[in-house]
Amino acid sequence: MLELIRFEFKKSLCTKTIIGAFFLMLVCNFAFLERDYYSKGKAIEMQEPVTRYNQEANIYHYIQELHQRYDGTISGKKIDQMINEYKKKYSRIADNTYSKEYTKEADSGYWYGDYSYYQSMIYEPMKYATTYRQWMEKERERWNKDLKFYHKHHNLYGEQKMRYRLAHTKGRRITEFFDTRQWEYLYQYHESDLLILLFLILCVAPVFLLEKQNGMDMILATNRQGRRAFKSVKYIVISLTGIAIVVVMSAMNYLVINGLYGLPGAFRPLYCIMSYKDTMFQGSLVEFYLWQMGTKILGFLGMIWILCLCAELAKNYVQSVLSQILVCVLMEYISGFALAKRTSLCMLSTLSPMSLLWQDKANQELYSMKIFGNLILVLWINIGVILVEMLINIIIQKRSGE
Amino acid sequence: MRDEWKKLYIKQGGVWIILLFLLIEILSVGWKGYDSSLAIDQNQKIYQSYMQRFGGKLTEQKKQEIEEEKEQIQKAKEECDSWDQKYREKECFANVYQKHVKEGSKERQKEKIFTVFYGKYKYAAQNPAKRWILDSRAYETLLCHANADQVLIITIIVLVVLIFCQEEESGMQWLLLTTQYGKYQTIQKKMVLVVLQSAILSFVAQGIELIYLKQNVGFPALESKLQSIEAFQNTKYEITLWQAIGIRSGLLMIGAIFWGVLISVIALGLKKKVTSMVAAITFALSMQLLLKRGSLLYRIPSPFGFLKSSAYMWGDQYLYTYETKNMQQNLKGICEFKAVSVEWLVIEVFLSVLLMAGTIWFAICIYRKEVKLRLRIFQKRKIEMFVIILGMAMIETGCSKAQREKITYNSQEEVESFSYKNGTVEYTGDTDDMRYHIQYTDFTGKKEDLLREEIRQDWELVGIYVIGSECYYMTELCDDCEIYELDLETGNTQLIYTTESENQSNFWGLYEKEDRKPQMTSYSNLFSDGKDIFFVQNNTLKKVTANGLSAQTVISDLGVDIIFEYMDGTITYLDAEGKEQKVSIDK
Repeated sequence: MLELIRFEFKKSLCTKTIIGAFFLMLVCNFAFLERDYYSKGKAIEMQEPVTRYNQEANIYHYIQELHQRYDGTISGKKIDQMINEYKKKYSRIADNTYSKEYTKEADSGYWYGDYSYYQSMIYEPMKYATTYRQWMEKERERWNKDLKFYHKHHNLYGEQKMRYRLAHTKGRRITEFFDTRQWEYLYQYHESDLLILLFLILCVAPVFLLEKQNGMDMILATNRQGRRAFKSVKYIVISLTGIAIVVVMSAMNYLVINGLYGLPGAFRPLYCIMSYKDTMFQGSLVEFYLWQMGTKILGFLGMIWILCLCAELAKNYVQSVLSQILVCVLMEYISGFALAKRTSLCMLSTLSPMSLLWQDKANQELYSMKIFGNLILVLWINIGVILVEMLINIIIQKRSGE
Repeated sequence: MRDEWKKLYIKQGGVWIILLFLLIEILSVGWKGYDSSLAIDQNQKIYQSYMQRFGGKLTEQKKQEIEEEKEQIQKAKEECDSWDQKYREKECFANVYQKHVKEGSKERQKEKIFTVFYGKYKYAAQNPAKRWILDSRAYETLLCHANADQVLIITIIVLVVLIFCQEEESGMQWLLLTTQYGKYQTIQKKMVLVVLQSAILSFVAQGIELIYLKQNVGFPALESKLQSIEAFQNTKYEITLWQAIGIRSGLLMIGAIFWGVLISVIALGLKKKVTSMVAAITFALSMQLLLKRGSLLYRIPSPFGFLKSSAYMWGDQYLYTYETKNMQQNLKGICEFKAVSVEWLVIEVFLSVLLMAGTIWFAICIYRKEVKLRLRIFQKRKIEMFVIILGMAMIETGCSKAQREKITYNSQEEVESFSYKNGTVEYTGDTDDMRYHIQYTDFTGKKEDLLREEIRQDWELVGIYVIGSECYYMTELCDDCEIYELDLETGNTQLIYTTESENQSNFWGLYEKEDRKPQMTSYSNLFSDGKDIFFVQNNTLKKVTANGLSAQTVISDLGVDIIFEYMDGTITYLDAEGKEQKVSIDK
């Protein structure tokens, strides 16, 4: 078997075209990341600039300086200092008599800028970090009341939901302060997924159509090895390639973003990011990224098997590429309902393996469904559907082999 | 030439690809729709009557008539308001009030659409010489968006790859090159086919869009200036609307031809169908993604700029960010889009034609094997292909049966409390904990909060309705509404209907569908007959469909004061003119 895998890999994928396309894909991905970096702070989709190559370098340096001063373990002294400075900055602009022109005396170049950036970059995030524990305790109190309510009203789904929330939010507190916007950007960067899909289309077609093109499929069909083992090998080769490519791309995104913006607090909990305050994920920032990569691998594996089926059914390269593109467009559209609140649409989205690529947003809160009165995480339904799709594919293959 | 046509469309099944292109193109044009607003959609007839009366060049007589119309509507509104106040303060009888409401209702119905129309009039009045009053929906659809037609791009790729790669893959190429005809004539014919095919495809794509718009909204006042459309107030182009549509079509055609020619080089260089197709698709998507922001794409001679041709006629576009810096006084605009001058467009077209000619010549040379284009990046120091691809990238840069129960509604006497199990269910807002509550109060006075899920931040609870053990509640924010079902037995909540789009996919930023958001919309009078859910959106009674995906209009002419009775599937209501009407829902 191993010999066959190695042979198939060499024959179909170790070609100049595939290797060249792989490097080109990496160049394109790098270009996308650089584009975001150079386009004035839009990478992180905030008005505050983060890039060094900015026209308003003053603002960048001001924010950097603020983070240098406040980043690290949160202490009472630091909070007092921060509140005092905030009050000072606010008092300067409160009466609206301050200078609205550019001034060298202001750290960011403008008095209102000093206050505004301080509020959005330091005051609000620090306030979130320091009050998170109390906020979470209040939420847990509310969930406990809800749990009792649902138990009294015999609502098993509601009960399970509250138990799940309570079990996953124990002892939460934020002890360190740091800039988390880069991590959000890393999780929400999806342009590399498009490149992975295109690369997979390129890989799948030759693996399945090379023999058809040469008439070799007829010869292979004459022996048992050719009918069964050989097809399984093709699926294994493509799946391994898919896994490898997702790992390489994820590693590249991590390294490039780390190099460009820096990714501080890698081992701090995910809920350090304000938009993930309701997350049920208990791990650290870097663990979430690895987990996201894992779900991406599963998502792409599901896509690979669908693409393979398209290639197998196609008679020629053109049919293969066109059918794969149409399937990708359809699957991407269906996956768009992954965060839908209506159960019917959410169920529809589980049909697309690409729904697993939305885990960055799906983990901002508890995404679950009521199935036969019980709580099931949407993620498990997604994985279950992919496994069923794979099983159906295996059964079709086995029957066709006999 | 006939042989090439036959080879591509008959032997290689190109005709099926064309049919697929036509089908997807028609479906996508219908799905995208046209630019409009809910106010116009709901008052089409009034809007069109205004356009017929006042459309075209603004004259002193028209100005006077519009101002008179405004005064009339204003007067009717004030009169209705004063009678409304008198009725509320019990200073007049109901029949007198109804009589006056009836008289002024027509004018009040006109109010919303007149606001839209008046905005257009005000814009035109600033510069009557250049700006006309017109129904600009079709023009806005065509000229205010810069989305490349991805279906056209992919169809061109597939067809051009088929023209060149079939012979390369089968080895026929080498046989053809041994003959005089094969070496010199075939490639010329293939290139002519590429150019003609790309031009025809772009022409057909535009034809479908133009026919759709003509049938649905029409192209009025084609001879008026481009500045008549508000989005083009800063444009540098002193042209008429038909000229603008002509320029857009012409540029799109150039873009399609340029793209076709470029694919020829890719196909001839890579020789394999799958490789060529995937490489070309990746190239097209990458370029669009890389240069999706700003105006660089329109300053460099490339097919992608021309394929988004409307943007060439746009004026400068600014993003104002005064709130972060200098507050109100020193509003600073950041230029997000720099307009392309007429001169530069001419130079760009000229350069593109030159580049196309160069690319055609280059493709011919590759075909005749006069230039060897090989992938040798993994062989000793030879990195031609890598450099060529990078060079090409640089050239291209520029990125739900009625219960026998009578339901009576009067907008002035809204029900907020419902009886349930010897007790009452009511909703409260604005409490100490800043949360909305749906509470059940039993006969002993003991209260229990049934709403366990929090209402989304900033959303307002605008109504509840209890039927059986189900409680429906409606929340509203800006112009959107959501209807939830709360099971009073278990406290379980689920979303039934929402006006928000639940699909978040934008195809990696390549396709952005603009939601036609209803403006100035208010939601009220939520009720259910145990089977279907109804609500009032402005002056329209709507029914949520069984699958919850949309809402059907049941009554579109409810009066200003929403008064109706519902029994056994029949609604009796007062229409906009105050007349009593009956509508059977089951039908």
